[in-house]
Amino acid sequence: MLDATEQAPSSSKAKKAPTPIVPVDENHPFDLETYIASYEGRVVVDRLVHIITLAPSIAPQALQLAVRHIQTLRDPTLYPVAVAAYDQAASLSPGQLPSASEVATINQKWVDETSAKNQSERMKLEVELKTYTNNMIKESIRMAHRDLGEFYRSVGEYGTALRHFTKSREFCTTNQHILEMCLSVLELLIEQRNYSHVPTYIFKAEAALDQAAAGGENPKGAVGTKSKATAEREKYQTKLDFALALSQLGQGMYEKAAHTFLKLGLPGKLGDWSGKLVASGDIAVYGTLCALASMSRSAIKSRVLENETFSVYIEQEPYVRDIVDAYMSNRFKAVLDLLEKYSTRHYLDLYLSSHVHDLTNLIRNRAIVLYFQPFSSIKLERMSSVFGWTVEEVERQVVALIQSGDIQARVDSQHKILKAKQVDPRAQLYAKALKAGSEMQSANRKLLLRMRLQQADLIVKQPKNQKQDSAAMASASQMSDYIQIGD
Amino acid sequence: MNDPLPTPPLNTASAGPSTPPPADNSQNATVSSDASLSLDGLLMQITSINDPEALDKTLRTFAPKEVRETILGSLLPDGADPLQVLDVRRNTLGILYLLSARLQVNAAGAPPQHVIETFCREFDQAQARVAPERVTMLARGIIQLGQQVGDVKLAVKPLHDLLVRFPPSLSYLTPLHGLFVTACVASRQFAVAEPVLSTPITQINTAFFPDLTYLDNLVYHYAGGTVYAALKQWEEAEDFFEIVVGAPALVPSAVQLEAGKKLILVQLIKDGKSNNLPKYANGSLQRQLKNSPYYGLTRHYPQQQAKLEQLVEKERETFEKDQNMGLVLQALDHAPRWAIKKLTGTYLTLSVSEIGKTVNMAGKDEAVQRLILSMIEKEEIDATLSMDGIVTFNEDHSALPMKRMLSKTEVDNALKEAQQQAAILRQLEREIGKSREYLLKAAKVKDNDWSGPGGPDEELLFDVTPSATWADDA
Amino acid sequence: MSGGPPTPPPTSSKELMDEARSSVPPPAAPPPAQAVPAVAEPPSPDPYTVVFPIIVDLTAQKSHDELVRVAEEAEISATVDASPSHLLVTIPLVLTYLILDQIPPARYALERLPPNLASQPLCIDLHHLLSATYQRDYPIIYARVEQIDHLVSQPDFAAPDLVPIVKTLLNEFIQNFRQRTFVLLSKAYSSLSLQHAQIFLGLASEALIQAIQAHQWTYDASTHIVRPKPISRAIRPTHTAPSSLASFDVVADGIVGLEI
Repeated sequence: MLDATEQAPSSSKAKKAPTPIVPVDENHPFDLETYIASYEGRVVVDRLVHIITLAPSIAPQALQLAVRHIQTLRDPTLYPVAVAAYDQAASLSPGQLPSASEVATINQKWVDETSAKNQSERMKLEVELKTYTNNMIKESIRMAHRDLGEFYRSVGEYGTALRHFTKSREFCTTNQHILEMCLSVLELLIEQRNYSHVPTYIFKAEAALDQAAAGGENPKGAVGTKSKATAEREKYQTKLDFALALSQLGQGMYEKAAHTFLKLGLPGKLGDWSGKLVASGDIAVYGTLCALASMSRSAIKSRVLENETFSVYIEQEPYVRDIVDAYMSNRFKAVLDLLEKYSTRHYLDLYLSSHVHDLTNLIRNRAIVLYFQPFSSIKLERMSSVFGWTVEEVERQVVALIQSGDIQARVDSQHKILKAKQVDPRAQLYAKALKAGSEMQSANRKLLLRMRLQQADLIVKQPKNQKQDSAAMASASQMSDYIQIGD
Repeated sequence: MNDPLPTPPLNTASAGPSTPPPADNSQNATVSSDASLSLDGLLMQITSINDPEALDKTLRTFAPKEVRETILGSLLPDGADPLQVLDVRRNTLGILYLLSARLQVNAAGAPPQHVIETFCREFDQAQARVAPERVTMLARGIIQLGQQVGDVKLAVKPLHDLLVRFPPSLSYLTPLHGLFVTACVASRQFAVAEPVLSTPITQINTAFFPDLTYLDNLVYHYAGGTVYAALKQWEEAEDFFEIVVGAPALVPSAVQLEAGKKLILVQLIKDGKSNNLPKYANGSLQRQLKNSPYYGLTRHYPQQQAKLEQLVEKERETFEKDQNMGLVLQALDHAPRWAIKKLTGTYLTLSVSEIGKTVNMAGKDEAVQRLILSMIEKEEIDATLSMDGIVTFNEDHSALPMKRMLSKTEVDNALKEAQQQAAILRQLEREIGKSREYLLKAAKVKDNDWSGPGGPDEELLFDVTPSATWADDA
Repeated sequence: MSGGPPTPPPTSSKELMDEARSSVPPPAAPPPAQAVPAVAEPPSPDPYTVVFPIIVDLTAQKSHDELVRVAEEAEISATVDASPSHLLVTIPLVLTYLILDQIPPARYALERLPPNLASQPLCIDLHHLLSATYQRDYPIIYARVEQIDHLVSQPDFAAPDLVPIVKTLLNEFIQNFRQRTFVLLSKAYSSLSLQHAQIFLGLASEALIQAIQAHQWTYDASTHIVRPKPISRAIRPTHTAPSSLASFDVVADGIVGLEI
């Protein structure tokens, strides 16, 4: 089981991710109001705080929205969090931002009332739990833990919340309960961007689903069970898949993430998670970028373009389709331009932010590789016009790709030409075989000697020989450093 | 054959036997009455017993242990050298005993150098093989003598002759191997060691050489690797150090650790990177090397030369203490070569000054050009230079063994050789399959339901004795 | 001795020793590679002087490998290092190693000399020549060779016995080295300036142009550009021949072996 201390490192790591200053202007459009309208609940504030840190130009607006939204929640501690983020942004660009107090005022009355309310609610729930525990009513204990979990989560005490959720596991009597518990924990983990534990709870949830299907809770309805189980599974599968996909993205496993995102069910299947955790447009962005960064062209065609379910997501963010179209028709400059244009949108996304840099690099590299594929040689100048870089930049990028082994070619630096390597597979095979053969032979010779030594029991052993050994070493090291450098 | 031993003039350069230091005389005196009598008698027996086995037994047991060596190493009562009376070939066994004892027992004056040399060159092999331990003792004595007079070189020739003549062939490992090559290294006579080193060891026979220990193997190959490294024959050096590192070990020996360090450096020079240790190498040895600054070098090699130099500066003390600074510097010296070699995979053409920039030799165009020429000469790269300083790297043939063209007969030969090897391995496998140890082990494995990776076959190939239990059983 | 598997089957060590003894005669007759004349014994002159005439012969025959062997062996047979006769062996040895382009052993041979000999001008010059050759510092190599030649040509040179042999070997070294350089230049350059070629080959322009023509290189007097004759680069022709039935057999054999 995990606890608060285990969470600490990963959440602090998320904070440490490079925080570039993200511009919002006509080249990098971003409409905060529209954007934030897709979310509800606590995540709104989380996202706004993230935006405040990265985009100072819209930080005041974001702070106002945040302060306003906080009052619809029940966690007064969010106030200082938002203000602190704003103050930090202000300190990074001194003189450009009004002070936090000028931007938004904190409703102290609300703070006091809410704190008091929270206090009494907690008391009530804790007392309830104690009572149920004394009476040993399993189901009631479970519900008490669950309620406490929900309560602590709503006031931002994630560690305690997690403890209660996991504790409730002991009192689960049906698979349905286990499933419920797992989903609550998953929500919590996702909010915390604590990805490494996500698969564990997905696994538990799926086991519960399996058991529900196999167990046939009600033998009389044998005919209906199967379809019921399938329906049950369908109800949760998309949520579980989403959690998995997000954890894969979070851990930089882009190819896996792409596959998982692309098999999600329709947005409706996300249920309350849609809005509470993620917007369907976000999923379009995640899935597409991961696919472009890791999949072959044919896979992109079949898994993205011809994927009817996923196109429902893409409809939410039409520019994503433009990127894919440009990529598929080899208009790489357009791809890179679009990625640049929407980089603000991407950086300001809570989950995508720390991966934008890597994903963009990967997409660009794949584009270069893809572009060069049909050529046996090409002028760097031509590539520079296709990708919109200077010739030097092209050379730098290409050289990096050659050295990483992604492009089988060499640069004619004098004439600024990229030339494919000519491979004579037959000669290579022969050479390789011969090399392997001679290596094997020398390895065999050593192995033979080694076996003979073993047969004769000439084996280095510990105790009695140690002195002798070090004596031999002393004499061996007298062969001092005769090996000279050829000056 | 029956030539009498050339009578040695008693006043040769090395310490004359006729004038032993007075202190020694007195010590001799304590056993003299008995000893010299026995020595006289012993000489009689040496010259009269014709069966070497019988003579060996006599010499081994003629007197109480404590005084035996003293007697063997002493002079005749009249101060004459018993060795003079004997014939090298006819009385090999006797001389072997006397000479080895004489060199061992400090009290006795050393015989003249030429007596030792003549013996080593002409001794009768059949007789000497009756007492292999005495041969080892003689060899050690010869080295000691060299150290005492401050010229280890004196030991090289006699040891060489001993080594070449004593075992049935040079492919048998003997305790003499390590002693000889160590003496060569100590006296910087690297070239004379090479003919011996070039015969690979294939036979380990503890019946012929009962005093053989694992150290003989380790020290010989370690010293051999050192010789090859000194001669800059990196491939052979790598082979030798790898044998040491991969020698069977329950716990790693200090010699193996040192060999591992040198191995890493040699591989950097030879291949531009360090390869994995043989997988049968002792695990704790691998860990120790992974944590050493030597391994640290491999992380930055060859491109990050600034970091390399920093690391060398930081770890200078360690490298110097290990007596490896020369190799470390050579590895550094080779780094630009490997960096250039890497460029050939990326560039078709590049100017000399650009090359200079990437290999940390910016502004030294002249030196870069010389380096490139030298690499072309050594066939490390295939490139051409133009007058305006553009280097063209020809199509990469790095996969091909340079220098040689690849003919079909060559391929066929390689195949045949591989098969011969395979045949030897198969034979050995069968041999082991029949052996008691294997059957015991196999039975045990079955009983214990052993669940390690691979079957017992694989284990035999790569790690016959992973556990101490094997040694106990045997 | 292609002795079979020597160890495990429990045989008494006595038996094995018997076997060993029976296998003695063959190697006993002429012990492997012992060619040092047994005559060079106690009171006779030191082995350097003894072996010198042989070295002179071997130099004349250009038997470099043999010379190296004889010289290295003479050195380990000698008991007196500081004798000036030591140079009779070491100097030809070093020069022969130079001819063979084996710099490390040459360097060790020089460094083994005791200080009184190592400090002689000839040894110091040779040491510099070794360094320059190792680094392929072309101008310095030619300069050092000149210098050594000049040194031994002095009427009062300390070891007159050595003069002819040093001159012969030095000349052979420089010829070989120049030839090596010609080959290298043909490989590395399609064209180069006369001035560069002079540096690499250490020849005055007149002699250089002659040598160039001897190597079938071309020289454009108007541009002062030398064009080496390209050496054939096609080094891998044969492997394109189809595999023969014989090699198929070999492979098949191997595979059958694997199946067992």
